[in-house]
Amino acid sequence: MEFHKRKRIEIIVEAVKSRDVIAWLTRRGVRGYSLVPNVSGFGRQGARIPADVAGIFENVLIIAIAGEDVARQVLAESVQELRDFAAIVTLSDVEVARGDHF
Amino acid sequence: MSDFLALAAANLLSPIVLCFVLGAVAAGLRSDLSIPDSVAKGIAIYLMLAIGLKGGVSMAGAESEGAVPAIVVAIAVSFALPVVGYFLLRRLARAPVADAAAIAAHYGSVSVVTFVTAQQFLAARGVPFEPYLVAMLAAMETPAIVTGLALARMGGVAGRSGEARGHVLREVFLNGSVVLLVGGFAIGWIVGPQGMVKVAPLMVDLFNGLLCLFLLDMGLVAVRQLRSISELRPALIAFAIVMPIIGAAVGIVGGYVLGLSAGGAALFAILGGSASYIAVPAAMRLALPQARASIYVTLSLGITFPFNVVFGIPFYYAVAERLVV
Repeated sequence: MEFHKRKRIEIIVEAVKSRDVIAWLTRRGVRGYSLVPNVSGFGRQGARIPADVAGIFENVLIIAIAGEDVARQVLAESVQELRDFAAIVTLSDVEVARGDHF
Repeated sequence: MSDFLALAAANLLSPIVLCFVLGAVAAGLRSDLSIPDSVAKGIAIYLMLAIGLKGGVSMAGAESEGAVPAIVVAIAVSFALPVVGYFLLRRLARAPVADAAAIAAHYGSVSVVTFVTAQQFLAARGVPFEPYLVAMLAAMETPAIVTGLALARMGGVAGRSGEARGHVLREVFLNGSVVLLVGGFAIGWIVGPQGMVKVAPLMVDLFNGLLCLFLLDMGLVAVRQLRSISELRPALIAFAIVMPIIGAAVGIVGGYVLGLSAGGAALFAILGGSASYIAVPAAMRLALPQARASIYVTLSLGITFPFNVVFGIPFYYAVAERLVV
């Protein structure tokens, strides 16, 4: 069976910003995503624990698979797109069976 | 003075405020007690819908004369209060423009839970108030966001453009709290007291119990939020006490001008004196991300909310009762 090399984009970002991030990924040609809510942790911005009613200290994890060109463009643009927001964007190599899906 | 102390003591000994104190003490002692996030959000939705419904039902059986000017004044106060707050923050607390504008916006908006707690305080004493106060509450949820962003722009800090502006517009008109309060109010007005009978077991009978549970969570959240207080300069902490008193004074004067009852003026004082911790933080985080959320949430949730729930409500009522006859 033939497998296809793709990039996995992982974005941990403030929950309030997630709608913007998904719109931006879609504009760049990403064809689908998974969103994990209620992500907490600690980093440069201090503790990010979703304890407030407004949910502004909540993070989400957005996972998407894309071709290398799209993924690298997303990574490059993330500096500007996510300026002033708590965010971590990473790319990693993955293989998928159904290459036409990504 | 003795009247106020008696009111303050009675307020402190109500189950609602005692639940808040329990949550605050538990968080202070680092208990692992926590209310699941989705439960707290669910109760918040319930409280807002119930308060809207009850306001609409009382409006259905009452004269609506006076409602329109009162709502117009409420919107004007919500637009104007951030200007006062911004001036104090810039001149006296030397806060950076983005922080000052974002904090000021919180103090022009309102806290629904503080309002509800004040309503229960008045109800426990048999103090009547005008039915359209709930409509004033809904009207004051979001105008301050616009003023806060305008102040930031005038101070040379540009908010996020494009999509973020769309979010802000949606937030101003379609924020979840506004939809629930206005929608509940409209439903209550349409169905009237008879229609309300059908949903009263949930929407009326359980209200105080669920409010207790929500206040327990607020006590936990408020004190845990206070752990960020070391980031705050004393002038900012003072602002979180002084600004509510200024806002409440504006509300009492507004109530006097509008001819509200003492109960109505006390509730308008709570609207002027409370600070948002649901609608405005989310809008500011998106539209003005340069402002530090840990500061504005700590001020509104960690300092102003407990101050109002414990001291502000009886104090504003004591003043309103004397001034507004």
